[in-house]
Amino acid sequence: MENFDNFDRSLEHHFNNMGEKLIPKQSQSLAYYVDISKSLQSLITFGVKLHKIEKTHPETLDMLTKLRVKEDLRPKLVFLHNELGIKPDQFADIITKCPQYLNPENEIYKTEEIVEYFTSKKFTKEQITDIVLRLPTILCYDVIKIDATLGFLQNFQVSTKQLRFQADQVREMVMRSPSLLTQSPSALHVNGQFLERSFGLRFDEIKRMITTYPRILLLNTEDLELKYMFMIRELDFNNDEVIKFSLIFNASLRVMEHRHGFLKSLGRAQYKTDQVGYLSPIEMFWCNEMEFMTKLGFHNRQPLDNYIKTL
Amino acid sequence: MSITAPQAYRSLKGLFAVYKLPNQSHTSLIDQVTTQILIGLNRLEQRPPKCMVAFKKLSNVTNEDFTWRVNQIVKDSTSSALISENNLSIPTNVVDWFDHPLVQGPRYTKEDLVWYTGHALDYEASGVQILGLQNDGEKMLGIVGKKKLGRTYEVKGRFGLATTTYTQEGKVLERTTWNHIKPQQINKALSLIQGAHRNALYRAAEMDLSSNEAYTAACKGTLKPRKFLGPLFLNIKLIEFSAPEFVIHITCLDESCQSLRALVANIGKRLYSGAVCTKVRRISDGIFSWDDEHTLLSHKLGGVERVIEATRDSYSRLLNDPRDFTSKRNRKRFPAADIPNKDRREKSPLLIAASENL
Repeated sequence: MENFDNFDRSLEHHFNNMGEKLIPKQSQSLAYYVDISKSLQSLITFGVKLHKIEKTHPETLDMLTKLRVKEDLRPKLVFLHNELGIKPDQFADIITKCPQYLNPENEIYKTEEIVEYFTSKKFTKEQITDIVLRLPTILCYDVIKIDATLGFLQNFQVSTKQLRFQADQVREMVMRSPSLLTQSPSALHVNGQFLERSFGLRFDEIKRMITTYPRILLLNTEDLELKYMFMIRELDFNNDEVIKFSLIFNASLRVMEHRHGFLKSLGRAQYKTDQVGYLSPIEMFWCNEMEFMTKLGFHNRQPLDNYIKTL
Repeated sequence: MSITAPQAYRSLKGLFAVYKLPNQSHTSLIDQVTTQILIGLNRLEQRPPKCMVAFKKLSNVTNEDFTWRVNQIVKDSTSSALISENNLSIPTNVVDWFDHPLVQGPRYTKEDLVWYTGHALDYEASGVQILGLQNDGEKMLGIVGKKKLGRTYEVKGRFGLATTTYTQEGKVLERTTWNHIKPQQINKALSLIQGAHRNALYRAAEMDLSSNEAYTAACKGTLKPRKFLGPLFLNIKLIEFSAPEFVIHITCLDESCQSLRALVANIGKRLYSGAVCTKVRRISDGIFSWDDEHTLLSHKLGGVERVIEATRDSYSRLLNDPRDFTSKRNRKRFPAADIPNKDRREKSPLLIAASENL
């Protein structure tokens, strides 16, 4: 006869551990490990988007599952709060864009080096927090490379000459577009050559252009060429006016074509300062559609839509 | 009271028209429209995250876990004694981190929207383009496509050139003069083409042209051939003629954008000159025209609610159309021996689908 005690013993283990969660050995997502690890749960309470990290930074997933709250997570977030003055509401954006910051191999002294470097170049504390909020990847970046790009910016090398910028100008350029810091000097040099050769600008004109719109060193050369040809042929610009209204390069070509065609159909497309009915291109192309229509005196977007439907 | 996301997703079905801009491929059009709809859907109110069942010992049960069922178990003296003696565990609801939106991502993705299209436009052409969503869109497109409603185009051309691809970007074969051309000559050539195509249509309709049935069908616009004859240009009108450039409006059947460009080259030949097409633009496709408020711009749809309104408007228009897309009466009036039995017994899924919604 069988022993009923032995029959029950095999089920004891199952009933005692009924709440056990089965974890896969390999997976491409963090969803299976979130129920177990407290660090991932605390990241979710801050608002970090884990589904984005799976797509953009898949090499950091191993590290994120093995995080410990007290030894790894806490000191880095405390550093952000105390040294840089970032509020807990803003941690989420920083970690989704730079999860390597939480790597225990990237120790805190490397970010302290970066902050010291910026303070030595006379950036104020508020400016540094602004840079970190807008460009979080700089927390894991190498100080030597930042030094190289800033040095190249200050003595901007064009074909035969070095354009010297002052320290105040360089700081302003960095504050207006902090993503210049992660570019290599060769990429900036390519755009500078493009400005010289296909736009046909002189050296002092290139200097003026970079100070008015520093993001032009980041844009794609194909887009730049198309926009420049549009400005010269359709809007009737000289090189002087291209530099004066260089903020327009921020808008996409489609937006410029639609709005310029709409103004032409109304008969109000006048961009010369001497003439009657002058409209400044920056006010026309550097704003929303609703603002654009209210400036012209309309309450709806419908006149613009009706014009676009005739194209 | 705003709509919830599942309600909006369920009502996103049917047909609506989109205005396509020139120099855009068909796949990029659909990508543009899906991203805008998904952004709108994922902003609406979503379902709450699901719960998970966890087994806890009596001592670990907290105030939050006290559901009706757990209450019953705890209050019964016999069951609670059993549980505490044998160290058993109770099922309780627990927050499931697996189903949190920050872990899973947006709830609606590209695979949830299935697109069906009407007659597709070229890369360089612009104009009204019909799009169908989900299964209802497929069925409605099948019905509307069989009826062969005409499409009108606005075509702009230019005299003086003849190329291989009938556009300005092709290899040039000829350069000609155009000073001798006058609008009366153009009208003559267009009416010749129009008459030839119309005669072909009447001959292919296989109806007794001297009967009353054929007359009423021609008045309504339902006198169409049953076989494929090629592109038919049934109505060609000159609208503008200023020096070498001219503008035509064409209504056609079974056409393609390249056939329209070939037409323009043919017109140039007939006038002892060369012509080239600069622009093809579709003004109307059956019921949908560019003037409507419900034809939406492809890069600026205006929200999910606007798309839903457009689909409902197309439903009502198809049901109230005097050409009667749904009734069986019309099939009895114009019988023909060539129609196979399959078509006669076909039901109208449009009516069934629409009656469910209304």
